[in-house]
Amino acid sequence: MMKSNNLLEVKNIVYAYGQVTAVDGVSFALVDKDSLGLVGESGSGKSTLGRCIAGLLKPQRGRILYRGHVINGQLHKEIQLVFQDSFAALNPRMKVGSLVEEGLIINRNGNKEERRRKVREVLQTVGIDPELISRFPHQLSGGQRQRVALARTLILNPRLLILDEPVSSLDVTTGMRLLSLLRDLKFKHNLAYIFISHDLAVVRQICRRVAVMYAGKIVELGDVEAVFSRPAHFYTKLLLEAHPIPDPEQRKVIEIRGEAVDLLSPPSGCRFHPRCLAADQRCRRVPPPFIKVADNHKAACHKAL
Amino acid sequence: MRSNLTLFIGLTLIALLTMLAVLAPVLATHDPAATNADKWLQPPSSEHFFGTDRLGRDVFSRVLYGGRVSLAVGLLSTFLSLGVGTLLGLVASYYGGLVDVIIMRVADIVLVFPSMLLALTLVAIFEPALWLVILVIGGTGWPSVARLVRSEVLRLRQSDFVASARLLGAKNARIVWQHLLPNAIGPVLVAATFSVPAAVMTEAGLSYLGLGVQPPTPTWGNMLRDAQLYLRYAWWYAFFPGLFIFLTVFSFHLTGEGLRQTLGLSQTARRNWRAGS
Amino acid sequence: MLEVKNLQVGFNEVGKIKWVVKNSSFSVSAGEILGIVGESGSGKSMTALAIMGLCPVDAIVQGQLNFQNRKMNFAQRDAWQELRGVEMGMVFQDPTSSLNPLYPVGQTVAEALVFHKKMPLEEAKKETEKLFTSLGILPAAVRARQYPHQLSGGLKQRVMLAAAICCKPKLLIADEPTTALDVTVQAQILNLLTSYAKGENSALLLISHDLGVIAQTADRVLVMCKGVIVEEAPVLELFKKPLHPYTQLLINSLPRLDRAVQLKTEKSEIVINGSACLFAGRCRYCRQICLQVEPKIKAISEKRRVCCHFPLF
Repeated sequence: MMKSNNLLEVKNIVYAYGQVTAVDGVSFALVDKDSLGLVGESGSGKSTLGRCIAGLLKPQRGRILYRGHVINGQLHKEIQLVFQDSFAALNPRMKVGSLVEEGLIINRNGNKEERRRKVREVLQTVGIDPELISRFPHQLSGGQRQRVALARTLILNPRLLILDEPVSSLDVTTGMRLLSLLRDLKFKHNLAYIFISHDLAVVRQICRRVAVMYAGKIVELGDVEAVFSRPAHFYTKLLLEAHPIPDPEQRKVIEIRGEAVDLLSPPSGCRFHPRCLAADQRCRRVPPPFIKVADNHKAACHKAL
Repeated sequence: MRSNLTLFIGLTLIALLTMLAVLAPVLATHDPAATNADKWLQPPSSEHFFGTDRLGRDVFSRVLYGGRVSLAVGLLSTFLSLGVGTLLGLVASYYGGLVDVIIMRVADIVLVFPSMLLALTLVAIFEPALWLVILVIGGTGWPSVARLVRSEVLRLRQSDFVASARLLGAKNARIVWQHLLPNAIGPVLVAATFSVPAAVMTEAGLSYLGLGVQPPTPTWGNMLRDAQLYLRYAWWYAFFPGLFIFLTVFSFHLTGEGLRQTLGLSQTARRNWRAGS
Repeated sequence: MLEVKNLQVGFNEVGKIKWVVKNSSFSVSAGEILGIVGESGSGKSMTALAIMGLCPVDAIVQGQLNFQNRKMNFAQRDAWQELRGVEMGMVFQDPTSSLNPLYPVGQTVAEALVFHKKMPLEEAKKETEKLFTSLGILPAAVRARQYPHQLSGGLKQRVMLAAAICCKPKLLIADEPTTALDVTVQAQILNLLTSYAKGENSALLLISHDLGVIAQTADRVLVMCKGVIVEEAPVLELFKKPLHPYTQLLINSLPRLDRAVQLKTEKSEIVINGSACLFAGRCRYCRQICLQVEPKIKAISEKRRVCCHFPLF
């Protein structure tokens, strides 16, 4: 097998919950220290994909390679996941200190004194006052909880952090502070990010590349700048257009057709065609190939060029 | 605040009742077994606070000593059903498959088997005794605990914090003891507080039928049985043991209710947080 | 058309009252879309519930309400019985928990018509289908017979909207109507809300945490922070020139599509006990007076009010 310098390679993976195929043949690669945004609406399969990469779910088909080794369905200490709902992700009966320390205890790192020092250190890096170690999760604010969840993963020195909607349940100002922290941490700890979000603007803030998902497939992949300024897929265009711009001078009334796909019986051809204004016969029949539209920019659309 | 008050009153009552039972030798004004043929069925007076019974025994002292037996039965049988139930519930839900099926079917069988009938059978084989009563009540009470633990664990196993621990490398033992059990135990404790009074009642019932603890050892149940013939002439004879059974049941129910509300509070807090403002 | 005067909502907490909405006054006119924006805990939802007379039973509600020349007191909750659902309609954040899972969705709406408008059931059913068609719940006759779990989130929210507007209320309150929805569906629902308000000349109170939604939809905006209205302005002026430092912070910390926002590590929230201005702990312009004297909301121009000692001119 050829050695590549990719940190992570996802090859054609499929994951289905019974009849519903949530992730349907997704491939992409991630180099070390890179940041990839996964955007899409609910049901696009982005969270399922994240859980597959983290090893919490085992894809039925395809391969996930981490540093060239297949890790399908296996947990890897260097790959960690930060959950959307920080309340659900922290054991309500454990205090901040033991929550953060847990990774060290499990992996038998250091003695009690060293562990305690490390916990304080990590808490400081995520901007949590170490005085809070004896608090329970419900005694913290949403932003603090998310930081504790982050500290819990950072203590094991991960290389790849999967962030599943980390700011969507937070207030704007709290969310933005967390984003800026994530940005700092990325450089300080040489992390690679997979950032899952429904909010394009948030992805814009933190990712170098972005993959747009629709009905279990990646429909467009490229550098954030390029995808956002010159979207090739009509779904990406729709998402960008529907995003409410916080400027009353740029008001727009957009026409949006149809509803999200029914994954039990996905449409033939291009899955987006029932909602696409440019769809023709070919789109209804033939699934579009994932083709290069520019350097480092691919899209699955017959009309992309 | 109100739930804490409920919990506080409940626990205080329990502490008080337990203290009365423990300190029975100190507090009792008479020997509970000492008969006095001259003073039978005396109404409450300054000498006999709760009056005397048909053999002239002091009802107050007998209620105190009876509480020792009744509370011991209630608490020990609950510990028994709690321990067995929690263990089997954990094993069933964690291993699943055939183990789960076998444990839960056995639980179903025990659950539908009337404990009174079981008691009758056992009493026919052995002599009626305190340990038998505890064993019967505890041995028939575990299935509901096992079911509760099992359903809690099945729910918790899907939660994000368990996934998060697995990502950090946690193995099964840690997940069970550190993450599943402490979170499943809340509802179980609440159920336990309701099972103590139930056990006290069952003991009273068994003793009332003459199948429980045997005279002359006083229990609230066999005191009630003795009193039934004299209900019309001596109200105090039945009233005081009855009152203490009521107080015990009431105090544990208060504790359970308070505990339920206090533990439930975190869920309310969570809902509020999710709703935003 | 709607005027709220000195609204206060509080809860009794161990002997003292904790106010979640403090002394708020504002008005909305017919055909106007008033946006209320704020973070969690700002009291925006409680304000909406108070106007609908739906505050929790243990809440203490004070103040007056003038609604279509009808004077009402917030303390007397019975007064709302005849208004709710007829003159005032409300759409909530979570359509799933607002619809009864045991009823077909059409029945929910038809029954509201029968109950409020004393319409015969057959007529109500036809009316419901007409309403469904106009709101894009298609095909209306089929959808009306479906149960909530068979509909997507967007369709459920449309059904909730149908139930809220079936009696053509003069005031529609939408509390985070699109927060649980995808961005494409959000645009559709906002369009429907706007066209109802403009088409029926009814007032719309749109509550949202999302400044983007407010910018795209509202005519006028109230900014709330910790139960206090800190700023009121027409939407164009608010975004062009926010006067309150809190509004400025909200606008500046909004992630943007067109560029990467330079993320400054903002002064984090320091709790300053007993400070008079509630925003003082997070305010970068905070001075001594802000800690001592509570700022009063004051009119800056005909249409603008701000609650700050040092508005940003």
